[in-house]
Amino acid sequence: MAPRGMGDLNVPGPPSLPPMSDQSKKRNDAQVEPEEGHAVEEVEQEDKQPSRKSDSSQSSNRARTRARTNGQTGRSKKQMNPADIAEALEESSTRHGHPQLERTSASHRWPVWALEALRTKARIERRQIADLIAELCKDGLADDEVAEREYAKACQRVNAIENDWESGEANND
Amino acid sequence: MTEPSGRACRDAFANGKGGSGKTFSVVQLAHALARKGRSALVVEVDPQGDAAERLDAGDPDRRTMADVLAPNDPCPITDAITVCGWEVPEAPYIHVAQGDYALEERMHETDKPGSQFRLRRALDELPAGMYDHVILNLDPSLGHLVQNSLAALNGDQDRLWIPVMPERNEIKGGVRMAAFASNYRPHLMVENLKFGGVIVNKADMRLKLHRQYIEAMANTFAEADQGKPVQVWEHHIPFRARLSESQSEGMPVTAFRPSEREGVVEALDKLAEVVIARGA
Repeated sequence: MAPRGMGDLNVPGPPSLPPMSDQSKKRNDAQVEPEEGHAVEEVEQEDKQPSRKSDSSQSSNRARTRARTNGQTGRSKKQMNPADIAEALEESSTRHGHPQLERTSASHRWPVWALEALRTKARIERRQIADLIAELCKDGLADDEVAEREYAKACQRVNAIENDWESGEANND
Repeated sequence: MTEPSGRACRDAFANGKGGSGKTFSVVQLAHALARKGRSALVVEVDPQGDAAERLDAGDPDRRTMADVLAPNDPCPITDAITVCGWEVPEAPYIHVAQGDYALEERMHETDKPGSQFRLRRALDELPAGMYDHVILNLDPSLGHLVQNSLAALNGDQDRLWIPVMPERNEIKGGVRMAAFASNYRPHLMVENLKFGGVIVNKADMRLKLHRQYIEAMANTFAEADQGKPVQVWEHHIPFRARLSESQSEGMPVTAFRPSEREGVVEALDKLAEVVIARGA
């Protein structure tokens, strides 16, 4: 049956959310719980516009999304020194390797899709790094000087990716 | 609409240039379809995409499209599906196969045989008749994830839509996407891939530049499909400044005052009608 407010449409009820497969249930059960003392949830404060949803439901949904984001990056909310920041950036930029794109000889021709993937990766890396730096500064976990220095190092890594891309394009010419 | 076999029609939104309004079109089209009583599954194939967040559907307890497209031990796509959390009656009709940054890892896993067809296989495993529509949100590139998405448009009623802003780079990205899709049909085994059309997004008719580009749009795409035209859809989605804030707040367009969304809901409703009527 259609939900209230849609009865005049005379349509069937909405689809049901399928249950998780056993495979995914096992994966969820095997995930390590966060260490005690590391807060992984936070609720964003919306103060610009009056909310058109109830604050509690909006906060709970955003908290769930935020918690998942924090879990994926592996960052905790402890105070980070410059070495920690560098490690987080290193992890961010080297986690997604692309061994298939390593060249073994000068005559190896790069496929077009590989070049595009590499360029997209560089763009994504740069944006991720900028977002990470901004977030660390906003949260007071890094000062501007440290952030600027680490951002410069991270850009060097991104430039290396783009150099590879340009070499690949030149190789194809 | 659903084909006789129960397979939902698939509509993909793609442009090689980011910021052209793909996610906006996908999210709001899903809502427009739901307002008409149609169930829609939004599939996030963009690592940077935030369709799940905009639909207030993110759920850390469920899997993501990165897990669905994994080369080893992928999970069923149903494990990655969450429900729209908007407080509107039609929200339960909108489901999302959520994505995240981990999709980047899939962008380079191209060495396994059949890697280009992972998304097609995943979508084919959806229970028959579960959804009326499947809407794909593609990443702004021509890479592996886009190729996976195009390869999934193998049904007669499937369509590729190209949202563009009436500005130079976005139009170039759209032309590039159209050319790529049309040229690589055989490689992606979608010889019958069809274009839904070009959707002009964020059109500000107060700007001379926008008016000029829109007037020339049909000519720009006149030969985009291997010498044949890709139709420019006549109902442009107008630019509304207030709506740009809706993206971060995760709200339907209909939640805004009429003056803030003038013309947008109407254009999206017309797009939904086209999608529903196709093949009828």
